[in-house]
Amino acid sequence: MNGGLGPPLLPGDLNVKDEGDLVEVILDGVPGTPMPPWRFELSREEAAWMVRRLKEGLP
Amino acid sequence: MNTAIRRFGVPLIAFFGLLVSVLTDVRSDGGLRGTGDLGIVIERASGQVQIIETTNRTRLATVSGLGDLSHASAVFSRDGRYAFVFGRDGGLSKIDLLEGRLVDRVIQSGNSIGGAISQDGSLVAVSNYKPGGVKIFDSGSLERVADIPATDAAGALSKVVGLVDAPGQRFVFSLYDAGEIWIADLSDRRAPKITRFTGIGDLPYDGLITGDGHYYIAGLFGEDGLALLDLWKPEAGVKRILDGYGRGEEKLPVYKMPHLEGWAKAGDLLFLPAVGRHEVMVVDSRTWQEVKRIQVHGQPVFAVARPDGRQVWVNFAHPLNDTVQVVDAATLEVVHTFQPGKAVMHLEFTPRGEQVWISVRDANRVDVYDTMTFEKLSAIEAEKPSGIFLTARANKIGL
Repeated sequence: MNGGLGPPLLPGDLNVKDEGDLVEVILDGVPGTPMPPWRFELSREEAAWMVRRLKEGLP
Repeated sequence: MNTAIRRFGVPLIAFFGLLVSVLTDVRSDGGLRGTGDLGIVIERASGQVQIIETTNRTRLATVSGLGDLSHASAVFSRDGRYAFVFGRDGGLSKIDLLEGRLVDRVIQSGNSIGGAISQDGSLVAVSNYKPGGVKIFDSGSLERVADIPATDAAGALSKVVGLVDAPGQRFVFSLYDAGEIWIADLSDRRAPKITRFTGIGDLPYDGLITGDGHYYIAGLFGEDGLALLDLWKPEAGVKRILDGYGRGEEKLPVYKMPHLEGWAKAGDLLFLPAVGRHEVMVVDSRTWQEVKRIQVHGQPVFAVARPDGRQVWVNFAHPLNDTVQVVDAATLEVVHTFQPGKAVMHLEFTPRGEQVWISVRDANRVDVYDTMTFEKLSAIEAEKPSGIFLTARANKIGL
């Protein structure tokens, strides 16, 4: 979660961002960057669950 | 012995005890042995590596305590005894394959992605995402001898990818954010001489050096095409090859970046995984022109040539990562397709290529196949295996 080619996904980085926007990033990706869309295998609810877990911080 | 104890007492018992324990250790390792058929398998979830041997295809030892090993890779000392493992958490671990133990470990940065060992074996270089740059260590003591921050013209740090060793005690690497290729000459280990090539293309994501040390090639994520540096004529600069090879076609989203370290050279042909396409590209290294695009099962991650160059084995990105395909380098056709299991992470050939070892992460297995008959020879249990690295790499430029 400390970031690879993309930015870190730690609570301090994510809590300033809107949950809905982050869900869209997971579902649709970010064109022109290595972040791909995951809509083909994740539902909106699953993406929202991931965003909430990331905002809480993973153990 | 009893007489000896009466005469010399406890110190002598301690001495004999020590002698016996030393002898026992050596015997339990099967006595003297070489390292040419040894290797390691990264078990990424548990932060450990297995030491394996490819003659009888067995596991010899497990070494733990290596930290976060997601995306970990390794290089070997030139005597094939030590593995240097580069962990995602910035850990650099030195493992003794013969004694089956962790010798030394340093946390050298916050976030690292790979490394290389110098031509003379005396230096280990690690490429880092954060802070972006390359750090150089003495391969004996793991003492840091040089730090090369990867700063662009504006002074911003860039993530470093595609670090390889090159002849002349040099390291070559690419700056992901800055779009540059750098050569670091470590002839004087305390004062690296840097040669920078700027504007080489958008978002280089990995690099390779050909096995003869002649060419360095960086793959570009931000645009179609590759950046080529002739290390025999660095003054000629970096040139673009396969420029706009997929122009006008829509790329697929990329679920796993291809790895260029294992780029295959078979005869004069280079086999390259295409980014965001279900294709392996074949390039003639004499002209740098495209020879063919081979349609394959999914987006290739590794395209690795068998040591004799006759076959190229390819694995694929999620969600098509249960499959491996074999391309015949003579006909440029896919000649074999099979499903080892879910999440095939890596392929590694034995030094002369009669076996290939394949890590199947979600099956918790490393499978060994015969490369002539494609028959499965055996399997070794492993916990979430990813990279497989055999000591034959110790004697190869760029590995």
